[in-house]
Amino acid sequence: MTMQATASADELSATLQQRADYIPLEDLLSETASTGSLFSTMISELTNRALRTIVGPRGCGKTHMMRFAWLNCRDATSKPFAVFSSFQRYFRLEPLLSSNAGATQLFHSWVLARVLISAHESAQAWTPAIASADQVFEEQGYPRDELHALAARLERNQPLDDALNAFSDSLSIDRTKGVIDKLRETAERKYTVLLLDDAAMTLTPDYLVEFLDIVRSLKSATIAPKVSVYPGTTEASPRFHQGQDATAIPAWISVENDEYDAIMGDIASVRVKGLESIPDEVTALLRFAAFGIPRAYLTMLEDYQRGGFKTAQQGFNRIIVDHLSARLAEFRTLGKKIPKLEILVAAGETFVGNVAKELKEYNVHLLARGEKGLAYGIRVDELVPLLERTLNLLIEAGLIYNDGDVKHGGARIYRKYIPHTTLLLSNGTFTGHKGSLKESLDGIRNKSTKHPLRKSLASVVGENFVAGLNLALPKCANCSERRLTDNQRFCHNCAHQLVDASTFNLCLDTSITEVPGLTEWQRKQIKDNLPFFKTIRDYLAKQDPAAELLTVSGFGKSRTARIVDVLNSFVDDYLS
Amino acid sequence: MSNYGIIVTVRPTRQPIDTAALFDASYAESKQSPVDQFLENCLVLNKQWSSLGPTEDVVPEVSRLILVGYVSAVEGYMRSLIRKLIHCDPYSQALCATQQLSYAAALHHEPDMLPDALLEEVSFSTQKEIEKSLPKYVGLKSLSAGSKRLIEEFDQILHVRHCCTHRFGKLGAKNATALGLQTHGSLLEKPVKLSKATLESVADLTFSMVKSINNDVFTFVLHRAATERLPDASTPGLGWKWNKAQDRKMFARYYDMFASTRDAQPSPTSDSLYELFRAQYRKVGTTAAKPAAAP
Repeated sequence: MTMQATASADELSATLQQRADYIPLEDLLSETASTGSLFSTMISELTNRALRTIVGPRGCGKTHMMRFAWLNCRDATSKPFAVFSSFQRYFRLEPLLSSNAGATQLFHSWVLARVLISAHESAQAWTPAIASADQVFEEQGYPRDELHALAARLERNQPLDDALNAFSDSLSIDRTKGVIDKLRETAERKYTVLLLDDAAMTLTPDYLVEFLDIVRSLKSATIAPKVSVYPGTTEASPRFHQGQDATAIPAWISVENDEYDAIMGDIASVRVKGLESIPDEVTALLRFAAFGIPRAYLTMLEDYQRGGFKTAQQGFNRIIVDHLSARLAEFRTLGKKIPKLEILVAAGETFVGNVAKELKEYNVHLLARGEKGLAYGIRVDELVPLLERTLNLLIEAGLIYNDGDVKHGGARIYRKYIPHTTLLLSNGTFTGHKGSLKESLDGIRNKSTKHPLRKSLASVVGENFVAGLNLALPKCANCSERRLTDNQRFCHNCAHQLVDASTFNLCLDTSITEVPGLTEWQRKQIKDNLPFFKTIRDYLAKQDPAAELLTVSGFGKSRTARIVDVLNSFVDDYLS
Repeated sequence: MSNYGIIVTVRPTRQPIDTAALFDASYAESKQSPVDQFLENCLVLNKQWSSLGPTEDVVPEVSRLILVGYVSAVEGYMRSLIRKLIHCDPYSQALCATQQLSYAAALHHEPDMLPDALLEEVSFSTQKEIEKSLPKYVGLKSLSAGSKRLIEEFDQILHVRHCCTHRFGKLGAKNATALGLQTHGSLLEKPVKLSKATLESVADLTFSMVKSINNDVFTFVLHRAATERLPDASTPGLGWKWNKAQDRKMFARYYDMFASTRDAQPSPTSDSLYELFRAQYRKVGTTAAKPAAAP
């Protein structure tokens, strides 16, 4: 019993370590591969004095880089003071948008509270620890406990009492900067980098605009914010201009990059135990299948190590198919979380599938002359806003890679898009017919052809594809008439005020037993023994869910901890 | 014509206007909550512009009247809410006990109409008056930051309304001063032009403001009903049993005053709100009580 629990706890910690948030800080240094110019550029950009956005899809290593940069700063006195702050929980404030007229002010306070809490944590974890930190916070009127209380109440959607309300109003950008500067002076560093992680806020554009405003105001001669976002994120803000306000630093590496194999290979060698027991052709193909996402590569390697298949070929096929369907499933949840985008999400899936099919055709004659072609080119002047939005959604989900523009004589500029490599591997693009691993490997090792596939969009996805792209504007809750425009505030049919239902609340209705990662037995035990533990909502409402779980027979300390971890990481991923 | 003073024609009116006949005597005070009355009133106003096509717009003279209508609806809401609270909420009643009434009101009103008489002299046509009325009659000292900001914004609309009511839409000096002479100084005596889009913004503001005030007051009134001692009581609260069946009637009294069935997204059920209320306050007055949380 105990043995079993420990084993699964180990397994869990191994699984969770693919998310950088869960790597213990002290292990981070030894578990970071510092290969490649991408890495050194990234670290220097993260520690310089300028405002920067770090752009890449989920899982491409933004969090890891930021935490690594933080450690770097702590350990080198020539580097700036650093504060690492995550805004992963922003979505929990979404219900305020349909229930509280002061939602953006509360969000503003929450952001500052989060920054201040992180600044306090940084001060304590600094070497040497900044002993006067508590005093600095007290002097500015921002005691640590109050900050925690405010953030916790807002994240739980509980009302603030008068005292907390007054405290929330008292949080200001200037005094926040004051606190950070004080800490930085005490640490004897020249400036501070504010590493603001999980700041894409895809699901609440209203908050994103406010957030980017705060970021701009936090920037000063001594404070340099670094913001991690998804591709296309900052375009949503009318007041934040990429290039003028911030330079974007890409954190996603192209499979076509010369250093790709070396970088991904090194990440695995520092993070995965027993790598040598996996056949080289499998690691090489999985590297390619990971599509520039280290987390994906690590997960797939681990899936392979777990075994359960007869031949390497079979194992590889199953892993990439599973990975692909997980990516697509995640992409589809966007449609549920932002109902407005439903049509674009469905169209995006068609687009990427059809492009992969066309590339398979395209590669037939390329393979014959020892080349491969991964990119599909779209004429830049064909990229109407809704099409671009669709493509950006695919990029955000990591399903296509924007590989830059190429010129084809005169004014014909093509933007190159590479579809997720698992799509190409699983449809046999590199083997002609469903061939062996060796064949696939030879295929991807071919050099890339010079030109992207240039075929009209209409012939790839059909004549009416672009015309059919539309925002699925929500219906009026009263008379079910669809809105006519995106910014309409009253129903044109029944004259009622249009208030969007909180999607967060809908997401909370997800049943606990649907959460992936729980065993059949655990699901059954939870269902049978904890009748009031049905949905994610019930789970989040509990002050101490672990205590409830411990009452179930067979749920000891480590198993409970495991279940809590699984639920927490699901909730954090799903609700962000 | 032998009289130089007759510069325009004048015809005697045929019939004096009987104001008594103008009011609907058969009207009975509706059972609707104040917020539902407000929504009902405003929906009629909204329909004047919400279904117009992209090239159509409201006649400017009419649009000014619509604006006056929205402000009037807000005033109606405030009046009706406070009146109902004085009727139904013992705490608000106790607070108003020391306030004075006009002699005429005391003489002519039925006893249960007296709260209405109390509000006779009050108007809700400036930000200050709205903000002062809630502490005075209800005891709510300060609204949420969100509501406050909306009321401040609404104050600007009130100045525009003043011009619409008293000057057929032209900007007067006093209002221009209040709105900021820097930006409005050159607009003196210019008529206000309210497009469909402006009316949409005004409606949006009034809807959000009224609903936000409604939530604030509901939160406050329930908080007080659970935690504060009435003047002649020995324990805090109204005597909640924290049993759904036993508390249903008392909770419904409050719920009905604030709930909306007319809104596009109607209020959650009384039972579901009661459960949240109970979860937060059931320990008040017991030894396990935590320091009072909320509103």
